[in-house]
Amino acid sequence: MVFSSLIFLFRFLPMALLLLFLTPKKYRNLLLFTLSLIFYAWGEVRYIFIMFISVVLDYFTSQGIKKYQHHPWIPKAMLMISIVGNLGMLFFFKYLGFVGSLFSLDLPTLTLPLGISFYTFQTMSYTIDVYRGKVEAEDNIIDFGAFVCLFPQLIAGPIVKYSQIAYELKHRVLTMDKFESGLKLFLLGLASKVLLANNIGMMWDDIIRLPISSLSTVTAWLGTMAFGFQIYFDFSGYSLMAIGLGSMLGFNFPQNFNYPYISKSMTEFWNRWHMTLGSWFKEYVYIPLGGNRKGTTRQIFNLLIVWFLTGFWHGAAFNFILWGLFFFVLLTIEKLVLFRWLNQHPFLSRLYFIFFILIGWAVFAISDLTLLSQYLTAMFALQSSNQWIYFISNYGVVLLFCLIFSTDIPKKIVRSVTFPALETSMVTMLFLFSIAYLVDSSYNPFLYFRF
Amino acid sequence: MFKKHPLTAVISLLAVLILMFDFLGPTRVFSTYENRYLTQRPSLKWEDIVDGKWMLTYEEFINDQFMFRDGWISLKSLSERILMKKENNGILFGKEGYLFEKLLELNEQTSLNLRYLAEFEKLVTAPLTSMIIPNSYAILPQYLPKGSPLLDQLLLIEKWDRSLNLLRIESQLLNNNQNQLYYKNDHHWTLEGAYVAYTMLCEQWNIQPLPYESFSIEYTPDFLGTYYAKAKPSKIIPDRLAFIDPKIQAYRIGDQTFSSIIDRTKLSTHDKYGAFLHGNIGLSTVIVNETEKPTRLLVIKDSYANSLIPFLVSHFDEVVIVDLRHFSGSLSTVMQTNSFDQILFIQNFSNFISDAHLAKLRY
Repeated sequence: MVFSSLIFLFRFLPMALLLLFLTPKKYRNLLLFTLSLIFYAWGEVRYIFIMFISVVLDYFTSQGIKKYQHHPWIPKAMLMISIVGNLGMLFFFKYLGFVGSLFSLDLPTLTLPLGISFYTFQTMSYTIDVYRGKVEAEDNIIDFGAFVCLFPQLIAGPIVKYSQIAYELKHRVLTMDKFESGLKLFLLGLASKVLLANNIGMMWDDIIRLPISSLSTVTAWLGTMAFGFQIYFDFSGYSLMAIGLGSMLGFNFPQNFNYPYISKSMTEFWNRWHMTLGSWFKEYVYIPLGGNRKGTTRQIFNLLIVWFLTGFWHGAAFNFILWGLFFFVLLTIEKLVLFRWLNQHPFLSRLYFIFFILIGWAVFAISDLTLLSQYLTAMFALQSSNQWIYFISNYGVVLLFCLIFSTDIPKKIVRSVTFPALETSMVTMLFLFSIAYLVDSSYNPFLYFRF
Repeated sequence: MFKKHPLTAVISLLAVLILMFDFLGPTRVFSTYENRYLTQRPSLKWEDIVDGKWMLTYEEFINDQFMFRDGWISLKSLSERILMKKENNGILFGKEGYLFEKLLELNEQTSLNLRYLAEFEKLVTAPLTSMIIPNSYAILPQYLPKGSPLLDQLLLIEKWDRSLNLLRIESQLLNNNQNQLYYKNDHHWTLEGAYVAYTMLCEQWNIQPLPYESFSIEYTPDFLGTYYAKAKPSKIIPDRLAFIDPKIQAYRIGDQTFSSIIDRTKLSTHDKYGAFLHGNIGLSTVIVNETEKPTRLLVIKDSYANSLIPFLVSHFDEVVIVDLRHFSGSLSTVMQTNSFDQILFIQNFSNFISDAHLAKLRY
């Protein structure tokens, strides 16, 4: 099930909230676990077994680590089982078809289980943390199951580490204040997805469907801009909905996006974009590899590994690998020479950032490499036509909204005028418009089916 | 509650209201506003749950039966106007109330259909005329929003004609485009548009076309067709549906026989175009004159032909009409049981590029 659907908003969520508030604290995690399984099974009943495997695998390996913590090799073996199990599942469902195609094997492409890239990372981090002694292994399999399957962030993040919500799993309190602020975040996230992302996504959809030979340069840039806005408002909207739902249920989930498009460098961008993924790779890949503590050459090698994996994590195709390596190159250059200069030139650095991030989005968005190279050529071919008049006149206002809401200006304005009645009516209005777009939905894609 | 947690209060109230209406309200079967049937509550079947079909239908059911559905649709089209969009649900708002289909790309079906038609042209023994009729935006570019990056239908038809043997009428349509050849609110051409094709066909068949004025043309006001149903424009400029009810002996659909090809009961409904030929029927026959050795025309068509056929009936004794989208029989049976003096294949561009039923041409 996805959040941006009437079935979630007007069937699942009201029912879930009602039940959770009525159930005694003792049974809440069992209920949450069950509800999350229903939520997950809605899209693909068969894959519910993966959920069970995930829960059982990491529960027992962690218990093993805990029980034999002084044993010379059992904890390590348990950790290995967990990592191989999790990555094995991920590989089987997500990468097998791709790797097979490299060796021209015609393996059947499986439907990717929703959110598998997110929850395998989450459960792995748990077992690793237990192994490292950072967290205590969870004894109650129901509580642990509730953590693994937690429906608010199950399918599109944020990637929540067990250590971040271990306390809340047992001792969370539901308060009206948290519910109110969570509800607001949820509705803002919903509006971000349904009103901004979907509307600007239609522009990208139009442009990528045009015959590539007739694509003018301006239109090509407008296209990748539209895609950049779509994925931002979609993804951050989803995270916001997750964080909001979490708060309504008594959890505090970590922030995942922090106005990435106001960055002045790629380094800054990655500190503001999908922050929980970045910190996951940092904590579980970059630092274990030695980070920056083993000299510059080794650091660059470590960065290469991290960015290859980051790219590949986003999808099993060459363009995602390219996309990761693209950032590796830029981030390395920034680290070695450019970073100080960028920070001293706020205007030029933004121009630099926007130029490269838009090229990056083209690479991300187009998986067909021939089409990608044609698209990139169109971005620099200086071909003109009057197509852009249509796109600007049709999507100009939406683009403007996207531009404004990708900066922190609206937030600053809202902070300076605190007038609750106004805020409530604004958010309610956004909700009404979101419902209208969901009822008459001709375009409501789910973007993370490849993640 | 309203004081301390206003948003929670307002949204809960709204949710309760919507849920109450959803559970207690009636289930609608047909939406006149959208001109389509709405999804009904799916029955629970274990195998449908396992393969996810039940969930999909249930979601459609929730969407289609949502409280005040029509109101939400209007709210969305209002929002699109606030955003100054030039379109809604894939329909472009043209000048002077014209609505156009936003057709951006061909379909994976297109090349297949081109092949099926080319093979069909080689296969048939009776004289065949094939026509692909451009849609309104291709003939009325002056009413399109500026820079609209739509498929160049005229160029494509010209290109396809190199491997097909098409009867081309684009330039005649363009020359006459000061007349209203297409409806503003519907994807069909008008009787006037169809008349252009009629004169061209007569030329092709060496018969004398009858003048437009010689047909007794009737009108029905307030025609709002498929484009309107999708786009919901703010300013409604309804069309006037024109039709001809030619004198015939009988119109046969299966076992049923009608005295007219026009189903007048449909004229007062929202599905006015459905009056033509009693809707889109797989196989039907117009008996114009009952004779020993009738002259026969076979029309393989989509709904564009529905306003053309009334012009044609006066030149044949019998017209057999096949709509492949609704035809479950085999074309070879039709070809074998009758001998045809002329065969006409006619489809509009938008339908031709995506119609998944043209494989039936390979009889």
